[in-house]
Amino acid sequence: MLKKSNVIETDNLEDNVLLRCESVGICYRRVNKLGLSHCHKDREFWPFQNLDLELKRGETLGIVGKNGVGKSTLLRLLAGVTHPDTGLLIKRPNLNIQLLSVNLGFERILSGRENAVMAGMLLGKSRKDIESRLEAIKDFSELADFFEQPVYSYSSGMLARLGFSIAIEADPDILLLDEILNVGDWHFRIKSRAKAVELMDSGRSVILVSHDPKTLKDLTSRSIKIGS
Amino acid sequence: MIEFLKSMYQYRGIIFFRVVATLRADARAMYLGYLWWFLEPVLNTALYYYIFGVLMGSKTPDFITYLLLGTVIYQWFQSSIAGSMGTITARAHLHRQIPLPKYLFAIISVASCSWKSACVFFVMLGFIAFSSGLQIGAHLLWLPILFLIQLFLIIGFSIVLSIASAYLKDLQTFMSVLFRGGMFISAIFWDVSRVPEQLKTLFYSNPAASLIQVFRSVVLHGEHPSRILLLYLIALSLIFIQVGMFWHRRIDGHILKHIQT
Repeated sequence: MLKKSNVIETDNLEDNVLLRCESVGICYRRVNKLGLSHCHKDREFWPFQNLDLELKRGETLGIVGKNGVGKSTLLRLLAGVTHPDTGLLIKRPNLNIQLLSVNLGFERILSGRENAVMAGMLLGKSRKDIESRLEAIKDFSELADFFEQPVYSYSSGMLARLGFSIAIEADPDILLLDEILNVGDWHFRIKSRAKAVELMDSGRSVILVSHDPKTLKDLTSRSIKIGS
Repeated sequence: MIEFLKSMYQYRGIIFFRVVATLRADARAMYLGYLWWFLEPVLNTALYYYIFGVLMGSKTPDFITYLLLGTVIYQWFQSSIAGSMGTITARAHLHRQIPLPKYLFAIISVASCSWKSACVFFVMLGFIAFSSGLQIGAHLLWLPILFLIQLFLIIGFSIVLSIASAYLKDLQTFMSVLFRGGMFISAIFWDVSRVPEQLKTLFYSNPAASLIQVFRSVVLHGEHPSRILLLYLIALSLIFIQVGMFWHRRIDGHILKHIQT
């Protein structure tokens, strides 16, 4: 059986705290062919359990850990895409949280422009609002003519640039970056890092997953390690 | 139900945007474009007419309009539901990025399919009026109500089946068999009066058969539709939407961990 949602939205948090995880755990159940999860304990896989985490306004938090310890899972949890199986996720209401990962949620047959409009609308912006930001997205992503081309013709660096530009223009309170600052060429890396710093300075929070110690040292105020 | 309507209102912009984009992309991909919307039911009807009207001689008066109406309504019903299955898996990349209702893309698929089918329906209505005479009267005011009932029925099935098919892929194959069988048991190409009296309840428990019957009463016979069938269809659609929403609340935060993509 699936549990009830363990996510609470409340303003009853200390000043400056945007969200908090209290002994949170996620469980992947190996499913059988019928798509039903087994109840056996040995069929369960817990990337992490009893994880505590707190994010303040304007803070940059790094997350480190080996492959498969649940870093991406944690970001999905914070983005509200999956819910914890144990523990509590407490966050302020109406937070605009944006998750950016290398496998971006684009529609391959639509152009960069159409994808930007769609992503913006899915993120809750009005069509007018997002259309007024299209030129800024086009400029920041430096896609030029490719902006009008279908996304399947993009290189992985171009995809990351488009995703990052859309996310920035969507004005997030919390930006979750999954290894995204290490894609793209040097020029764009420097530019996107500068933008990330600008976001932090304007009181937004950023959580980033990275394997690169230097990125974390340069950009984050503290890091947590998950997995033992 | 209220929860469902609220989320529809919240996402109305994206639903409209995606429906228009889907219809355009579909039309662009084919040489005959929008013409296919109308060619498909016409060709199907012609085929059934040849098999059942000519070869097997089960011609009733106005057989063509009888056949055409059944085909159009059934295709509306079937293609909308079939199109919504598998949408969660197909859009998993978006669901993994943004918290969205998992039935959103099923609704978008239903909306674009229904828009297409409604256009076909009105062209067909014009054809019926032109060929065999459509009785104009107050009974035609039932049409918008029937459309709404049909839409909610399809939505109810689609929410439940889109979630179910994300867990159990076999369901898509099974449903395609069921839909093919449904064509035979919904009295599309044979006269509904041939159903024995004692089996009528069983016959009309098939929602597609009931749906086709209420449309036929209004369009072909110029009558008011049967209240019992209407109530049955309304109850069925409310139950399915309610069950779908309840199920969705349970799986919303967990389904992405389990689906195979």
